[in-house]
Amino acid sequence: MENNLKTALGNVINEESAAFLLQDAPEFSEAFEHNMERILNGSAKTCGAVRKRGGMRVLMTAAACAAAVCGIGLTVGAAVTDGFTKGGAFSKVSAYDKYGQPTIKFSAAAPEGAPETIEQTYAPSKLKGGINYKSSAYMNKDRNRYSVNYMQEMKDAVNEPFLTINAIQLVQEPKSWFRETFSVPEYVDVKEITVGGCQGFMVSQERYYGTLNVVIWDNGDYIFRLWCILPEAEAIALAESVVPCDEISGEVL
Amino acid sequence: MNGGEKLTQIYIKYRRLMLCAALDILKNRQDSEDAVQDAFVRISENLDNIGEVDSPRTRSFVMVVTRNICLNILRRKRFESGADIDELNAVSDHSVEKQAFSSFGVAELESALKRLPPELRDILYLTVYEEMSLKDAARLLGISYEAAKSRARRARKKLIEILY
Repeated sequence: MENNLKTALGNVINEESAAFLLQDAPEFSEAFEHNMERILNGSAKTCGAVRKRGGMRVLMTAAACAAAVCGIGLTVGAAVTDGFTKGGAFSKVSAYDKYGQPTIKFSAAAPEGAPETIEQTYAPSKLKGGINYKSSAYMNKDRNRYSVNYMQEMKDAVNEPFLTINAIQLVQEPKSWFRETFSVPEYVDVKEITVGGCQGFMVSQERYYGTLNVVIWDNGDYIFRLWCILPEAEAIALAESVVPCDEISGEVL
Repeated sequence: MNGGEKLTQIYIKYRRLMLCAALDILKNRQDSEDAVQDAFVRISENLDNIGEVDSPRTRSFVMVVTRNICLNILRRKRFESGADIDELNAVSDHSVEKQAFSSFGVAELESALKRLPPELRDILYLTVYEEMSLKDAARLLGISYEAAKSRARRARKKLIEILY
């Protein structure tokens, strides 16, 4: 009885989608590519206990389990000393993308002897207290991009914006491989900051789910980008807590 | 092809289409990228409903998912609830509608469908063409079951009004 309606629906929607196929889409931003890399490649590596918290079953990492039992925050390890040697030139340049849209590009010059590939991986050691995350780590095949991703367990993921699920991401790339950093539109706030004594930038942009802050800094060997929906001070504190981590699990050493 | 490979193929094939569909509604690149990411998460949870990747049917499915996520974003930005008041109050006789549709040819139904608002057209597409349950369609679109049910009823009612 509804065969005609079914056929008509198929035809109309097919025609609409075909029209979009012919349109010229702008390039995707680096943030999008990074997030999609996580969706397509990552499966969260978690360990530790499952416990009830406020009626929600929450998966905890081993570090979070230990911290919760000890009643302390998640800061692990000694004072940060490894991540922040002084870097080379790290500058901000205004430019235009191929669609004529204004962008800001960051460029960095690698000091002599800087590694061509990632030899030591890093992760933030200090996460927001009381929030439990699943973490995953990913190294690309060329070993020139490493990311550690922290996803917050949500009760009902379907109704929540995507980025509150993938709450924090730290991206690491060798400075020598890195001729220029990613572009951002000029209609974001960019300000110079210092991260552990190193030059850096804070890029802030209002999204419908909150303020997206990206902390970018240079430790001499690597360029780091920390993506999060945290207030600026917390974002910088998280960036300054970066320490060496295990490459496979992303767990701090 | 496993789920991960299928999702990657869908990404390679349709990401630009999804961005175009999102930009068409949201007019904002950042929100559009976020919507496309949301759509991939939804699609990854519904890979069982997707057959051959390179097909008009899959292309239409991803466009419908993207479009409805964008409409949800717009609604959220306007501080509206997930379900319109009209949707909750819509009432119609389903059996009368089925008989009504059978009287019309495909071309007439196509013409009427094009005059429906996109979100009403899409709920019909998912429930009639894709034969999804209302519960699955609600989950895919990120709306409540009651909202999906009311939207489907409103879609049929509106379609009848247009046809007659």
